[in-house]
Amino acid sequence: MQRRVLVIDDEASIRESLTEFLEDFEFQVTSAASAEEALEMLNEQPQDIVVADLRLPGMSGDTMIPLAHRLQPNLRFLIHTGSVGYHLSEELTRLGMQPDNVMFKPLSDMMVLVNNLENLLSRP
Amino acid sequence: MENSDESNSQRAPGSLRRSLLLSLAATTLIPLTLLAVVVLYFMTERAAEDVSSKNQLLVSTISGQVELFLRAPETSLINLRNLYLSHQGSLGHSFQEILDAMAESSQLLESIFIIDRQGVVTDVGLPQKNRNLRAEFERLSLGHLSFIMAARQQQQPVWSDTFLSIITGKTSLALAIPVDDDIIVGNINIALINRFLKELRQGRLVESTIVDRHGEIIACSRQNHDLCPSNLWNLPLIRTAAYKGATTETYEYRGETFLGSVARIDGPNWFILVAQSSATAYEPVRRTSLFFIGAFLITFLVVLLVALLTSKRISAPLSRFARQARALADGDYDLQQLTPGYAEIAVLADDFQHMASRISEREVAVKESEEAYRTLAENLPAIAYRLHIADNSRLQFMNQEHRTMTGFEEENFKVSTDSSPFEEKIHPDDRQDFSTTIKGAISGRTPFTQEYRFKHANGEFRTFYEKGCPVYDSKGKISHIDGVIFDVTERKQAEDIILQSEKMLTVGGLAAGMAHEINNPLAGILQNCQLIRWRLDATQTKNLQSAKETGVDLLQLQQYLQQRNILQMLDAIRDSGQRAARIVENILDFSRKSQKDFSPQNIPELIEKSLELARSDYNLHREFDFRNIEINCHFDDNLPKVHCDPAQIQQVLLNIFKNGAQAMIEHDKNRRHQFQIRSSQQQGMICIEISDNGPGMPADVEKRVFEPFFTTKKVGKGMGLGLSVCYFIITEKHHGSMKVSSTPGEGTKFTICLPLLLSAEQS
Repeated sequence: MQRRVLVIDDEASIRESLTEFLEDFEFQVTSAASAEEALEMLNEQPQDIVVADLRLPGMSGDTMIPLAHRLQPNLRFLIHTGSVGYHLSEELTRLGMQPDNVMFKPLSDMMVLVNNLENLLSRP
Repeated sequence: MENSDESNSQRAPGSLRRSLLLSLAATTLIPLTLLAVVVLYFMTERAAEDVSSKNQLLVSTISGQVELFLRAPETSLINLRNLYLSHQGSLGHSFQEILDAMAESSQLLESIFIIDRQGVVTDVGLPQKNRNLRAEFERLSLGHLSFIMAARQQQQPVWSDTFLSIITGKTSLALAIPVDDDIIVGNINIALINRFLKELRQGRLVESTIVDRHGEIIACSRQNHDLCPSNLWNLPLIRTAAYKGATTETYEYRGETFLGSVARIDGPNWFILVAQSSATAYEPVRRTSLFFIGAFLITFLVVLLVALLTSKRISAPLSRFARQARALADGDYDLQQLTPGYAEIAVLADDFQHMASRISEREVAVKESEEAYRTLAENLPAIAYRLHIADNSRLQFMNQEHRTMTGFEEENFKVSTDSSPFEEKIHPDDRQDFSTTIKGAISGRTPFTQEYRFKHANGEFRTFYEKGCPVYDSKGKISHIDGVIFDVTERKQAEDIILQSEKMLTVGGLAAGMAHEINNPLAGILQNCQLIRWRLDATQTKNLQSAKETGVDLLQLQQYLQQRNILQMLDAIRDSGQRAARIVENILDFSRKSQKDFSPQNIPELIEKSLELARSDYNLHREFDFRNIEINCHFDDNLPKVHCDPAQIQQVLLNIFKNGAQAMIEHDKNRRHQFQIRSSQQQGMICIEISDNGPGMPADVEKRVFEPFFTTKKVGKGMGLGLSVCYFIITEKHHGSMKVSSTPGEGTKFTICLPLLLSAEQS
């Protein structure tokens, strides 16, 4: 069964390249340019994992994650951010997120992200 | 001025001079006057008594003389009686001759009658010149005359009253002496008595008058007999004498006052009045009194004069002192030498002179001091002022600097009831703070400092820094504020720049935001780059599938890409992107204030490690060999450890070494390059001094050397963050200080100080 990934990033070059790359690794990838758009999608179709940017136009990524969790409690999250020195908030930690679920831009190798996704999905 | 009310409410003090004058004059003149009055009273009394008694004495003398004078005819007649008795009837014709001879020889007797018992004149004795009248007298009957009857009755001599002589037709007197039944009558020549009186009077201012017992004038010593009064019975004096005997009195007669003494002349029972005009009589008394009064008046005047002079002599220096005191108050210290009249005043004058010179010295000192402070104040590159709060916020003093600093004149700052011009020129946003600070300082009795923007006359806002201090009067009420105002606009601007640069490097600031903005496009570049390389990979099934579908031989394409170096180009893009990402990461490293890597470090060891790093630095090595630079280290013994991040401190030191080495090499390759490194403990800090003998830098570069992105290196050789990051590491992260000083042509010295106190707290 194909694993479903929702990529959220307002920067098209990042969003699209990531989408393309993940598709090459047999992920079923959907993408959104804002948190609101992403929540709409999550409302309509189930996903396995979300790769979310933090600084987004409108709602921020870390505000969106708890809302998304409410929509789909089994959903897993990976943060992909350009902000430096980001630390997980208590709320996100409670949702089961861990420091290694946060990845900092720019990634010199997207394989790191792929591995991280697979690790996260393989967790029980 | 203040106590003028007090002194007015009290009684005005009397003049010293007048009081001295009065008391001096009083002490002398009152007893003198009393004495004079008493003496004058007794003296005039005595003198008057004296005059009276003299007059009295005179009257007794004259009366005695008159008595003596009158005794001569009486004696003659008594002798005649005796003769007559012894030769009764036997004398005959010769008796006539005896009588004549007697009348002839006697001065006083004009004629002598013998009257028989019938009262008929029997015999008449006449002087030669009157003998022809003898027949007229003979046989005259005179027995009825009262004095003859009295003489016969009393059988003793009796004087007649005055009568008109039949013979001479003049006023006459007669003396009757009884001889048994007969009576001898001698007619007395009054003119002779008159002459006698006149003779007695000679050389005297007294007039003598003889009156009979009825007051009829017998004789008078006046030269002109007509002036003699005819009867003096009306004079009370005469009557007193008649009843009481001798007396002396003053009396009025024909409008003139006389002093008169009356005595009785025994025998004829007459009175003699010796009188002198009282003016004449009392002349010596009057003269003595006048002399005395004159002497008293002169004494009075002399005393008054002496008192006047004395009081003047005492009070004159005092008023001169007063004048000089006023002059002193007006600041005139050029005192005239006072000429003191008394020793005490001389002492006072000396003290006064001393006081004046002391005050003068003090004022000179005060003036000099004021001059010094004024000069200092005027030369301050700031506004110095004193604002008299108690006096309607009057500006008591302000130096000239305000013209430059504010562009306004002093009068533009004059505070009135409804406006405070200085405050109004303060930026509206700062005005509230300003007045709050001032009010707080006044009520809290503390000095204050305040920074605010002030609108210069040219419209530009300048930043002022004011430091002031409220001053209170003795009652604890606010008196004034002394303050200094600096124009810190330039400093403020410089501070703002540094603040700005620092902000840029702090978390949440521009740097972090910028890093995020850069990271996103970098991610786009790197991800797409990786994606292209991935999609060109001939080993991937998806790629092979797509190639097959499109009829492309992937292997051929690979060869082409390699031949044209396209894959290397893609790697170059990736490398550049990654490098950019590292730079951003480096910048961000310093914006994190984390002190997790702090630990106690030995500074000399850190310096040695940094030198080691410099020696092995690849980039440095490419251009020159750091080992060729002579390094002189001098570390104080037993330096305490400093709490710091060793990696960061090493980075700072390495940066300085690299900059210094580069500068020295570029300046002169052949010179003997040298680093002098010292480390010592100074005032709670560990200081590191690193001096090179490079080219140094000009003042403008020195000033800007810690600014971010400031560089003197050629484009591409450095990014200008090095020293600003170092500065940030030392000052912000380690709370230390970093300074640079440089002498162009001689070298540059960096001084880094790290606090020990902080390290103690943290360890």
